[in-house]
Order: sequence, then structure tokens, then C-alpha cells
Amino acid sequence: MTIYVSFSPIGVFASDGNGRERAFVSFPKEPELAARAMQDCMQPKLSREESEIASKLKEKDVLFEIKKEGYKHEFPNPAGDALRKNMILIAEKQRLFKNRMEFLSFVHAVNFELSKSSMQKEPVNDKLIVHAINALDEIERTTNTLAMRLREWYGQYFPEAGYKLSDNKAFSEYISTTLYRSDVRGAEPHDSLGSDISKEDLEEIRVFAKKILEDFKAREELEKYIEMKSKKVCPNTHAILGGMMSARLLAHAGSLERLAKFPASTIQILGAERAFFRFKHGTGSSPKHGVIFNTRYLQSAPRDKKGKIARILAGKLSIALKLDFYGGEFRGDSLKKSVDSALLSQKSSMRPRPQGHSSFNSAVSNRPTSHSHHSNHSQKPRTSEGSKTSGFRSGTTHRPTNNADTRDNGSAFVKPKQNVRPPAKGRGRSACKKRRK
Amino acid sequence: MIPEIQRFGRDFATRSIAPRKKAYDERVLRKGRDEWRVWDPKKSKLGAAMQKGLTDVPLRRGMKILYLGISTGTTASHLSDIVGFEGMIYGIEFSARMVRDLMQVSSQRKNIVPILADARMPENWAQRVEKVDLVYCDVAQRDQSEILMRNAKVFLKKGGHMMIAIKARSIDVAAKPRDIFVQEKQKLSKMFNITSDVNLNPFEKDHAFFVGRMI
Ligand SMILES: C[S@@+](CC[C@H](N)C(=O)[O-])C[C@H]1O[C@@H](n2cnc3c(N)ncnc32)[C@H](O)[C@@H]1O
Repeated sequence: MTIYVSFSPIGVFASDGNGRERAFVSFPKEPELAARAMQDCMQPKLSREESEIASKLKEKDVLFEIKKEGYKHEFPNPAGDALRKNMILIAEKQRLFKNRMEFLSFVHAVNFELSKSSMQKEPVNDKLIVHAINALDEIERTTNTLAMRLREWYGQYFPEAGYKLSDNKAFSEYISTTLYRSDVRGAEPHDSLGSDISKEDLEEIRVFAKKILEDFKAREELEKYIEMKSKKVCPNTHAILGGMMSARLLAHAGSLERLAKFPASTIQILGAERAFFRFKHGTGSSPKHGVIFNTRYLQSAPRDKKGKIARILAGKLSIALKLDFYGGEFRGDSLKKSVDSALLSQKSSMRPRPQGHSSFNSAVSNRPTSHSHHSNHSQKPRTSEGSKTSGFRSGTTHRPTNNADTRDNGSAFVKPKQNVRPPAKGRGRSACKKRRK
Repeated sequence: MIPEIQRFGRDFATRSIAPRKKAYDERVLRKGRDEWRVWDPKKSKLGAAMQKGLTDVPLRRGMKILYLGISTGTTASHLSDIVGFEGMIYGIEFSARMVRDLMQVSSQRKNIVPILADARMPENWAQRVEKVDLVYCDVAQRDQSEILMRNAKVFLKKGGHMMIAIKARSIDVAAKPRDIFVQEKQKLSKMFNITSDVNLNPFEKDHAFFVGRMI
């Protein structure tokens, strides 16, 4: 006769095919110990209590409810069913608890312990990268805002410095060190359009500038950290995309596990979910690229080949991510090489198309060339004075380079005049509250 | 409906089993020595369903519930008030971030059991739970009806009940929500007598809520 075995927070239970009890071995009554005993029972090796049950049974044909080395298993099995149905009766028979309440709080405590230990085992390194890249974006936003304030503030005293130093970091650095008009070499203090303000007032501006400079340094630190960390956490993906882009992909998925389980087609559109949904609703063209469009592969691809390159890249990334998540070997270099050579062959097979080609070129050359976020002037100060003075910077005003608006112009995949909004940031998933990245 | 759920003006509320401890940012009404927690229809789909006229609420004190997709325990906290300390809610949630907050709620409400696991794979956690009187399913997944039925088969007692929130967009973004609701109802009817269905508009867009009983 076949005997079935399963377990529960109270212990290990053996029954016949009708769920009638054949043997029972209880777990310790301390929730922590019972939780540990349950964890042992979840392993493929027989636990102490399971061996004890097996030794009590004469029958050889023993069937477990989960995988056990040397045994068959079946889910659910009659022992498990009986145990889940009558757990409290079985406990009563064993005189394990005084009453129902005591039983219930024991079950709660054991499960609480089990969940606590699985929480502690949750992989965290990918999440750290996601926090870091999100922190980077947030610092970037706030430093730009603060730098604009600094420009306005200091502009009361020496506006000319602001025109000269268009880079926010350099500007903050200048104020934290030089500060006084009279200390600027070659400057004629009395030629400035600014007013004379007191030393005390100026020193206050210096404090603010130093704070901003700190933020710039934190940004650089974070970038280095993300580079280093993603090389460790997802070396294959890192080899293809570099640290920042790998981190952005992770941030869009939320975790390495989710990302590794996405099909290549999802990886291809990550970061372009909104365009994708518009397409599904029949009100937009199919998105050809999301996060990965910002990579150099796609930037340098001929425009009529971008879709194809994006597909190839997403395919290789999908392999790289699986290697990274499941702890596979390092094949990043060869994966990267195959994307590179695909790109190369697509470039050389480009048909000469005089019109399309030239517009592609001009689209490229019109594109803002700055790849750093250090000179981002697109944000206007949120002040009333802002509107009066913002004119002087209009020459350098451009949209941030990571803005899809600028990027998509001139792409063959965007219908003329169709306004492609920047992709929604990781908002493509469930509407449940409290989800934070 | 049932004495554990009371109306105060427009609001539904449950009598708190953990006074002075909030489970989310719900409003609290004090009546004598009791504390009634207002059931926010914008944050709980069952709350929304009741606001939309659902009276078929097969809940009672002392009952056991399996909750698939319990999240941070917003809805579950009201169920916890209803089933009381003689009852139990086994909550399955696969997002560790959610379980982190859920465990906070669970430590104040000992009738909520947090289980960090995938509702699609009951074989991995079945040994931690008991059979239940009701399965509540709100996983917002394409195959949520299948997930519910698979779990009901293993864990639902004979004649037990189910409640499920159907999110049309997570099943098919392009199809008409109404068509999806009909299709899901058909699927579920193989296993359940669907006794109520309500549309959750305007509290939740393109959501339906079904209540049923295992055939
Ligand atoms: C719409 S929310 C639930 C909200 C909750 N029912 C409430 O009203 O308070 C859906 C939850 O299901 C979880 N979920 C989705 N698929 C799951 C699965 N296969 N196993 C466990 N949980 C899942 C998600 O992480 C999410 O927290």
C-alpha cells in the first residue's frame, strides 16, 4: 500500500490514500525551532522528522508532497489534504495546544518566522543599483533647480559671471572659491551691471554654492558606484550596455529577476511602454526602442535599420540577463561583439538613399551634442525674476539629451509631426499602491 | 449585511481588533469604547464593490481566508477585523517590498499570516496553510482566474466561497473590458456559481468584482 507524507507547522504526518493517520511526528513547540524544522522539510533531503516517520512505517512505497531525494512525490497528496483540513484536530489529538487560539497564534508565529527568514534572504544587490540610479536622477533634478536659484541669486551681484560660466558645476565651484568680483582676474568690478552687496550677503551665497557643489560630487560618486556595482551584479549585461544603461534597465523592471524573465520583446520596449500601449490601442506607431534606444548602438545605427538593431540588441541582452541572473558564465565580450558586428554589417548594407540619408545626417548633427548632464540649462527658475532675465541664456538653452522628444525627431519610426512624449518611467506595471523603487 | 460591517453615513467601517493602530491611512471613528475603521473604497476593491451595492458578502467571524495578492494588507486589515482572532487570513504576496509593510500590519494583527511566495506555485507553500472557507484573489495578472481556480482546488473547503477582482487591463490592454469580464466569468463558472458581479467604476477603472460559491 502507498503511504503519503506531508508536513505542516505542527509536524510531519503520514496517512493512507484516504488521509487516515498512520504516523505523526511533531515539531518543537517553539515557533523559531518549528520554522527551522519546516525549512528542513522543504529541502530535497529528508529532514530529521521525516526520517523518523519513514522509520516508523513498515511500507516501502512512500510518496511525499514535495520533491525528496529517492522518493516519488505528488502535489497535493492525501496526507497534505488531510493535514490542511484537520490540522487543529490532529493537534488536539496530540495535545499540542490548550485551545484554538493557542493553535492559531502558533501557526502565525511559525509563518512569521519563515517569512522573516525569506525576507532576509531576498537578493538585495540589484535593488541597491535601482535605488542608486533613481537617487542619481533625483539629485540631478534638484541640483539643476538649485543651480538655477544660485544663478539668479548671484546674478544680483555679478550677472556677467553667469554668462561666462554656463556649466553649473563650474559656476558653483567659482562661487564657493572666488566669489568676489574684485578677485576675478581681468574683470572690471565697476563695469558690472550687478549691484554692490555686502560681504555678509555674499558669504550666504557661498554657503549655498558649497552645498550645490557637494551635490555635484555626490552625483559623480553615485555614477562611479553604479558603474562598479553593476559590473559585479550583472557583468554580462554590463559588458554590452555599460553601467548606467544596465542600471536603467534594472530600474525599469524593478529587479534582476524580473528583467531576466522578460522576453526580448519586452526588453526592447522597456521605457517606451506608453508608446507601446498607444500602439496596442491602435493610436500610434509601434515603438522600436525604449531604454536601449539611448545606447550608442542605436544612436549610430542607420535609421532604417534601427528596428532591426534594437531587436538584435534586445535578444543578446536577454541572454546576458539570464546568464547574470542564473549565475552563468561570463560571455559578455562575445555577446557585445555580436551586437557590434550586426551593427557593422547593417551599416555597410545601407542602401544609398540620397534624400533620406541626408535628412538622417542633419537630424544627427542638429541633435544636441552634449552627453553630460552637467550643462543642463533647460530648466527655468521658478521665480518671477526668472522671466525677466532668462533671455540671456536662451542661446544655450536646449532640452536634456535624455529626452525622447529630441531623440526621436528624424527617426524613421516616428510618424511626421507625431509628438512622442518621453517614455513613462517604469510605470507600466500594476496599479498597486506603495510600490516604490 | 453582517454585524461586523457597519454603515456610518456613506461609509462602511469595521470594528478594529487593534485599536489605536492604523493599518493604512484610514479614517477612524470612535463610538463608545469601540473604534471603527472606515473602509476606503479608493484603496480597497472590496470596499469599492460594497459602495457599488455589493451585499453578497460571505464573510463571518471565525472564518479562514486565503488571500492571493494580499499586498500591504489594506483590504486584509478589514477582513482581519471581521474574522476576528478566532479566524485566520493566509496572505500570499510575491513582492518582498509589499511583504515588508504587510509584516508590520501582521505583527499588530495576529490573524494575518504573511507568506512571501508566488500564488502560481502553491506547491511551494501549501504546507504552511490550512484549508479555508474563502479564497480572495486580487493578483492583477493575466491568468488570475486560473490562479484562483488552481488554489481553490487545493485549499477551498467544500461549498466554500470566492471573491475575485478582475482588472481588464492586466488581461488584455486592447480588448473591451466588458468582453473580458464575460470571458472571465465563463471560465470561473466551470468551478463556481457566480452569485454577484459588480463593476468598480469610478473607484477603479475597468475593474469588475465577482463573488461566487464552489459548485
Ligand atoms: C492589486 S494588488 C492587491 C491589492 C490588495 N488586494 C488590497 O486591496 O489591499 C496585487 C498584488 O498582487 C501581487 N501579485 C501579483 N502576482 C502575484 C503572484 N503570482 N503571487 C503573489 N502575489 C502576486 C502584487 O505584487 C500586488 O501586490
